[in-house]
Amino acid sequence: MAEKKPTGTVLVAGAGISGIKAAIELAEAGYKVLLTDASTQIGGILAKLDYQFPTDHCGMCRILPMVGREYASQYCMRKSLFHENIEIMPFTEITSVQGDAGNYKVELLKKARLVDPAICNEMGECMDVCPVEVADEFNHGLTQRKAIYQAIPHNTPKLLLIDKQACTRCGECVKVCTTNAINLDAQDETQSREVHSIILASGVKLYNTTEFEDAKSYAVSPDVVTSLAFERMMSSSGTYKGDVIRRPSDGKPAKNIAWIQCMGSRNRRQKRDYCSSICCMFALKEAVLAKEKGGPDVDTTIFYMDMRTFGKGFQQYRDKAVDEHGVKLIRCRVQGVMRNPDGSLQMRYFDPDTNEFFEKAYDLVVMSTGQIPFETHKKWADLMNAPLDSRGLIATELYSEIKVSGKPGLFICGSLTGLTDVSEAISTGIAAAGEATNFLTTLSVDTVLEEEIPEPTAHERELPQIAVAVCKCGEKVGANGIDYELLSKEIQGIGGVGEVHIVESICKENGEAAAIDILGKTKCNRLLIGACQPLMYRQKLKNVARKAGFNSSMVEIFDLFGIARRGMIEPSVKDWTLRAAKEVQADIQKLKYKPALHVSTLPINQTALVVGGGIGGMQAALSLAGRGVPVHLVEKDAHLGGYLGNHVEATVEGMKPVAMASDMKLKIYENKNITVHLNCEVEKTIGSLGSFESKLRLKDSDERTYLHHGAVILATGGHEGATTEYGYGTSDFVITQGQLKKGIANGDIDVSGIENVVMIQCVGSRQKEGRHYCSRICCMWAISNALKIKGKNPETRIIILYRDVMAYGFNEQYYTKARSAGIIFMNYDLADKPRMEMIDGKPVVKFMDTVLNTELELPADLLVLSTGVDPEETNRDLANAFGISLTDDGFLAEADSKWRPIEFQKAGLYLAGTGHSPMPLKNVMTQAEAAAHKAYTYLSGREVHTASVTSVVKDALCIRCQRCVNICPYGARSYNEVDKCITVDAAACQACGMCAVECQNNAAEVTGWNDKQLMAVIDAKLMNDFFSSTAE
Amino acid sequence: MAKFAKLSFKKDELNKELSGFFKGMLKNGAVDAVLAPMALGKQGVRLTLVTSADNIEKVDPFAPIAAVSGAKIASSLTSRPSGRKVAMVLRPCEIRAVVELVKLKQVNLDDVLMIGMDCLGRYENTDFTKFQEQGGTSESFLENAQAGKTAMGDFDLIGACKICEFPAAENADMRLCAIGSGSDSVFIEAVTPKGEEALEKSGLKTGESPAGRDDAVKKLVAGRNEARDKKFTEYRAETNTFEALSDKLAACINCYNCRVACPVCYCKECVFITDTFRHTGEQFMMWADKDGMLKMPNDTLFYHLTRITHMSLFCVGCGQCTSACPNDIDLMPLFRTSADKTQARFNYQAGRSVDEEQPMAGFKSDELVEVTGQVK
Amino acid sequence: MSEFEPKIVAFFCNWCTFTAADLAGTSRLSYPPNIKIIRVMCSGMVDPKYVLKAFLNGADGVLIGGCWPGDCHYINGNLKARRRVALVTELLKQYGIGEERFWLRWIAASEGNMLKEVADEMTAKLKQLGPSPLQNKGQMVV
Repeated sequence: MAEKKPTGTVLVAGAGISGIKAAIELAEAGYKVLLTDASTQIGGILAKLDYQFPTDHCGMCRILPMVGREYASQYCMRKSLFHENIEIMPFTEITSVQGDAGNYKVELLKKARLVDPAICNEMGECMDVCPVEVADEFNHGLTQRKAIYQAIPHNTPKLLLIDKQACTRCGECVKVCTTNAINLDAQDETQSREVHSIILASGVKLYNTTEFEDAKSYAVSPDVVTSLAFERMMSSSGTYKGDVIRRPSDGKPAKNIAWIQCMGSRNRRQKRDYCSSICCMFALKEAVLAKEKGGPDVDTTIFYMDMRTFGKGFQQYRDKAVDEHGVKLIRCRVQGVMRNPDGSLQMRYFDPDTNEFFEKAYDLVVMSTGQIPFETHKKWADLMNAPLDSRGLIATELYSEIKVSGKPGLFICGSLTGLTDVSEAISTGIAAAGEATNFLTTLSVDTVLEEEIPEPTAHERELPQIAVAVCKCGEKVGANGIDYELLSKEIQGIGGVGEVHIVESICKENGEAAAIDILGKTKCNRLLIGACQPLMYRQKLKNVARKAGFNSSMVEIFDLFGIARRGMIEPSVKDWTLRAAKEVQADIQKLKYKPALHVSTLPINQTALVVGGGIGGMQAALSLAGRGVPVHLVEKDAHLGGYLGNHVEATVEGMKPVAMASDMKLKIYENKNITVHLNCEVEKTIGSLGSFESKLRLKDSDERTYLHHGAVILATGGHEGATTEYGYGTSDFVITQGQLKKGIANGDIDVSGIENVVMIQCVGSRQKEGRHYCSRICCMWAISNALKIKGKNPETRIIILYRDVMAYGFNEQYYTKARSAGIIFMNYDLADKPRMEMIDGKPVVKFMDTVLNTELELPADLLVLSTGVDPEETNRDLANAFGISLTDDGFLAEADSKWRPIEFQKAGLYLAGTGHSPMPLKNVMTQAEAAAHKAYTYLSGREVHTASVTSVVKDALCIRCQRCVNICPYGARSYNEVDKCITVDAAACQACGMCAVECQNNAAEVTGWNDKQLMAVIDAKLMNDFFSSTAE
Repeated sequence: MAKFAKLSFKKDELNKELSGFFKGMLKNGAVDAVLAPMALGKQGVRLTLVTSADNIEKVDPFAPIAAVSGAKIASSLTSRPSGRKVAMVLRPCEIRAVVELVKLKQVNLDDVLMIGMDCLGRYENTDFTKFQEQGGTSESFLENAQAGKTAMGDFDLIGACKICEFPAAENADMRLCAIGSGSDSVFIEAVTPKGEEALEKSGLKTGESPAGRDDAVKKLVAGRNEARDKKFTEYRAETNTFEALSDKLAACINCYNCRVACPVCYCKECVFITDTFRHTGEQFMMWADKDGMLKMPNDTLFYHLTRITHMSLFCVGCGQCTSACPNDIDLMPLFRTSADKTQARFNYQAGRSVDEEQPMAGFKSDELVEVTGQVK
Repeated sequence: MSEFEPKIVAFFCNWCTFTAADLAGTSRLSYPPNIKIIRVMCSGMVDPKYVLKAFLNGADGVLIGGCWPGDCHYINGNLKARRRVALVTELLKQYGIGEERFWLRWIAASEGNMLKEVADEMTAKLKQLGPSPLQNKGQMVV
């Protein structure tokens, strides 16, 4: 017998959304994760946000595992996160990292909270008596908190802690604490851990207006706030409890609100020559929400330089904000902010529309503060002894934004790759998990093995006899605790209850042993455990039950202390006890009628199908094949490479797509795991996660091949858009950026002799008719072409007519470079597009210059059009073949634009690259890696265990009306034409119960949530009236 | 432009003429079978599936009886299709139920030639026997009913028919038009291309259209609407509390016949006789303890109300529920008054069109804001 | 004779509204114990039968709490819930149980204060309205 290999373990440093996603992905792939965060809690920036653009909704919970649901928490992520494979360590710093890839030794400093969450009964008197009041950083100092406090209002458990700096050690809290949970002398502890790989997901510091000279001029009043502070002002759990937005200075409702963009960003003088990428959308969202909250009479204005709405759906969002919500956008840099005697904020700015200086008073000014990455990058680089690049950022490999140069086993994600929005934070997080997994598969490590404690059999057919074990939670029972004698007497009287046991702190070793001993002897066949913090002890209690011989599905856990929170504040012992008894009654009913649950096992065909042989598809295929997964790579054209790999020699960042692609092709043809199908299209794909069948059509022939595979990655790309504007096609002097790029590369176009070049951006793009989106790459293409021409002939006059220069992130540097190279950028307005006339054989561009407000005539020897990126026309057929949907623009519609950017609604289908939306090469690589990882998670084993709580079909009752099929949001139900019956894809089913309600006679049912249980619970809730028992 | 074929008949020869028409269709292969009401002597008139032209003589479509809803028969015949063409002669209410069943995938119209008959109403089964004993025939009924004379001594049309707004069939390929067509003729109308082809094959000459029909139908519907509104107002006044409702249902014995007879109650087995509602003795005792007593069988009101949430959106007001009740509870107004409200809420009309999505099958993000009354 | 205490059966969605209920607790906002919470995975999981059952068994009010449109963990369960609520309301109105006794409310995870408001408001409203017309004392055919 081979010796047991160690379990692959990854340290994820930083528990923001990206780190959390990386951790969840690794955990689902079966690896152990150590998830640390320097701050007192997890969640990062998102812990503060109620809504995210461009949907203006929350949905963080959608990043939880969908197949392995039962290993993870199934509740709002703002409460907390739980996964059997993830160890979460907040308030922990990494002090040193020794060793190297494959065997890192990490020193951790676990900061003392001074309050032990395991003992704290969360009654909160300590916070009442604490005399110290300080500004609450969670609400950006807009509210006060005590020295002993709860960092995030949503957290369950509360995780109280003491602010060492603020605490006066007066000891009042210690006095009132009935459970001795507070220890003012508790010390920070150091821990040393061994991990195989490290993912850095710390995010970066945000620009702080009090810290920097250039910002002080703005911080003239408490009514000048940062965009993050503004989020707290809007939040229902924030400063104004979701009420109208007010001025912090005097609490008057804020009617005029202004946003100032690029605070701390795009500032060469301050050595911050970069764009923070997300602030434009952030401000747009805040302006829209401010109007929704404050009503139509709230006036919102955003002062900006370029409105950088480059992401998927961003342009539509901008147009909606302006057209439907009336958000004002003014392109100019604000001179400064003054405080008027009445407290209002005076702003002076140049209005390009009227060409005049304007003065206006605002109630509230929001500063869109961006990233300041260098410190953080330096810190990590030193700690990991990783290289920094010329910009002072952690150097990543040329074609990756994830892999740290020369450091196998070390990866970065989230805002360390440049300030990211949620969807990119998620994508990079998954990709980082993918790269880490990739690395782990090269080591001699294992994934987590099956659970040690075997599952006892469930005796569901026996007459339900319920044993109730109520944990006395040791010291937790304070003065206002529970009367356990009374409680057990009350419970004993409930029908179906066999035995009631009061056990001592089940969460502790001795308590656990005692409980197992008692419960092991009972004749009962079902078990209800009443304990505190079930969220925290879920796994532990499950094991106690198993060791005592109870099948997990015959066990329910109920939150003894939670009841106190359900409406009752400081209840009397009797009230609390009786209330607890009533609550237990409902849980007993639910347990009484609970069926035994079974995990179903799906056989997995460990082969992947990758559609699209562009760089994204090739990368996904190589990544999977590298981990030993057989891949079918299907390309509709006669050769691999896609648009980038066949047409783009070089990018402005110095990447060489064509060279890269040809290198990848070699690797692919060498790799025995990859079968390439050229000139082929997928005609139809049927099946579900683990077992798909695809019918392949060989172009222009009746030949059909059938492929069998367990997962699908759609990596269809795009191509340069077509146009008929500006006389394109009528003159050799009018060409596209793509043609110019290629022409310069292969020497077909000699630019050395050219005097005048005019480039027009956004041709047919970012307008309601045509491409209603930003193609994201055109600005950089124009700049790189322009720089090339300047390089050949500095005398050439190059004018770029733009609407907004989408030089987000560190692309800003190329924008700067272009301007210093003498390339002229002139802004034009969509409402007043440039016009082209041929004058003696040469194009002349006439347009209204928005700055000079005069009509200009620009003669051009070469007129270059940025015609954007079009999605593949074949997407339509693909959508039909796979039963997925497209966006209005013809791109592939992912499951969720924020939270599930590289998945489709149907389990087992993933997407990557330009098929999703136009994006630069590095993002394509990231998505490809992410998609590959999602697929690998399920293809790595011969079978996949689904959740035990899923919907089922009672065939004898089913009339085949298929209403359940139609109502299922996950396509988990389908009508089997062959067997004429309804089938459920247990991997796709999320047990939401839609089908069960839609089905009128319970032929569709969710196990563990059936009508009998729920109706019994309703009975219990109404059976004996709580009030009668307390009325005395 | 719809095509009509006039079918003139001598006294007592209406059905002979009609059988000629059906015989023609069967003989010339327009259809392989006919499902139509047939006179079966003492057994009265029943829907009968006829595959041989020689057995079609006794066809009697206009007989004022519908022992079982034809929609249910249509479902049995087509939910697992035979592949053979069937002409179905059904009442407007039966066709409207069929429309709902199509959406619920319980009826498949691919091989069906739908023939809707003008319907002036029906009698309860027992009353129909009396009707025949008193010498009533389809011809006499058509004549009298159009003159408003439907009451015969101690019995009359069923309540549902008296307030039915749909005497003429929609969603049919052909129609048998008797309203306003004179006492010595009926018209056969081809509505769809399918219908026209069949009419041609039947060998009948097409020609004039029934001049008086449209007005006659309008007049009839107007009267029915009036009666309906009156009935609704009365019934709602009588049952404006749960006590009043439960009094109405006092005689219910939970036999669930109403759902068995209901054409749109399409479940294989009602949820109320599944395990979900098989309670333990302990359970019953618990309930009894609550108020000290529990009327048995219990769940009567629960059953009827649940049924309304299930079928009221599909209810076509055929009245089979009332006919089926062994304890003469007049259920029809209960379901129709509720259906009237629920269908109106979603501006849906059961049986109007197969293309109309059933309300519970869809949803929009920006609809029904009044339900929560909340705006972000 | 003590004041009438309405019994309100509250079906709360596991993701948003139930979190709001916990948040109300951790924020130490008290709300009337008249609200008898039943956790369901999604507001779209609430079968009309549950609502009828609650009223038939003597509930004075039924409250369904779900995520705001667009926030639903299951994408659109709350929108399906809204149609069903409209359907059942149309039925119950006739017998004296109208919108004022049967509420659907969107309550997001961070809206603990709104949860309290809704709970207070509904309890107050029902105290005003008095007991449900369906106070079944066993005599009635249920």
